[in-house]
Amino acid sequence: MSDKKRKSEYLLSEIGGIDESILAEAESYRKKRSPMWLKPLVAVACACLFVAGVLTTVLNKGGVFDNNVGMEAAPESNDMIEGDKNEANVDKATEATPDFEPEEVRKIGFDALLSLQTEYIDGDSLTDEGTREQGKTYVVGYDSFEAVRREYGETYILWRHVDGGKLFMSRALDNDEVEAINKRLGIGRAVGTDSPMLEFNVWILRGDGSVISPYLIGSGGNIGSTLFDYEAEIIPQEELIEIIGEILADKPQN
Amino acid sequence: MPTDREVGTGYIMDDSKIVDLFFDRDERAISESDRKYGRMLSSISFSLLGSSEDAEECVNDTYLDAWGAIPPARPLHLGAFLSKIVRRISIDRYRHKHREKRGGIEELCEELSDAIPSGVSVYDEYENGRLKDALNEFLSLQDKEKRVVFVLRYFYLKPVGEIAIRVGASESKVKTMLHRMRESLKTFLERRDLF
Repeated sequence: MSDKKRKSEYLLSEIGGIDESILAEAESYRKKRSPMWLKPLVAVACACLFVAGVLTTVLNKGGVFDNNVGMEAAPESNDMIEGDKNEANVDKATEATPDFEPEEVRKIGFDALLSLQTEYIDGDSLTDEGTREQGKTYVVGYDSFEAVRREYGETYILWRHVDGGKLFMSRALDNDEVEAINKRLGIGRAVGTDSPMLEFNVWILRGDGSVISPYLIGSGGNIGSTLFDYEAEIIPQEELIEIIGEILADKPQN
Repeated sequence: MPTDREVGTGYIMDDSKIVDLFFDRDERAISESDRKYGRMLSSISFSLLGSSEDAEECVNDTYLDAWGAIPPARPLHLGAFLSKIVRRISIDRYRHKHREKRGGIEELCEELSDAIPSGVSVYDEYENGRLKDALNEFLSLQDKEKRVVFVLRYFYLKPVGEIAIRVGASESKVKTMLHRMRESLKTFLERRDLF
């Protein structure tokens, strides 16, 4: 054994003299649950809002979407004019200020998911003013999605109106929709992370427990804590925006 | 005195009650310690020795040692107390039996060699206890998560993957954290003019 290794061995041995209070602290340490899901959540919310704005713009340009009511019809056009879109995004950024209270959550479909969410909200998440301020929305984290997978084993799309603030809607995707979305994921224009707050939020919850963020690029990080240290993701192509717009225009399942 | 229910199967006794059993010279102290901490102690020993048979013997020796030490000792954290014993016994056993073999200790020593300043007589510091004091001081200066990661890795000898789960971080983050802490420890030891 080299001299350095021998010294290291002594060091390793001497680590055995660490105070018992420090050892007990490490022995009992478990990361608090909330940060595991809160961080992705906050990031998901921010990310979702951007794409949602894109979708809103498309829908509004089609003239068939009423912001105050919800998704009433599918978009008729997938044309996007960059300038118009950005203008709309900025406007929504100043308007979207939901005042969310857990007891006011209106559950439409996906009851189990929202129940889990409420459990978390009843914990300490809403005591975090920073999260309330930044997040603008409150959905579930990894554990809950895992529960969803166990419970449903399906792919869901979940969205929420920022305007309504308290309204969640969801429905399962059929195989064709899953295939259509999957084929188009990850293709598009990269964007930064400082997107403005927008109209509504969209998540695709896959049966494997992972989530497609609003930028609609699949990411393993979406179910882990390092996820949203996040680099620019992708604004989907218009074709995908149109597909999702049509899905969101459907009535949610109960 | 613990009740039957408390010493019955399925009931994990409080540390203080187990320590009371030691004080009462009640042999159930061993079985209750084993039930509560046996797996953890075996894991520590196995990580060092790489042999379940040796680990089992070390754990048994640990209980014997604890039996001799309590009383007069009255540990507040029985798990930590027993862990220190099993760790020491396992390292001693390693030194006697496995020095020529590559095992868990060597792997850990390779990692820890980052934290050793060159030209250091660690053994001298080890002997006079200054290194131990310095380690405690170093750890007390770290934030909680870092301290926990360091202790889980180098005291409890947990694999990086397991630590990552415990602290809710990725493996790469834990590895980076450990690397930085070793560098930081090295600087700390140098700046403290310990060597």
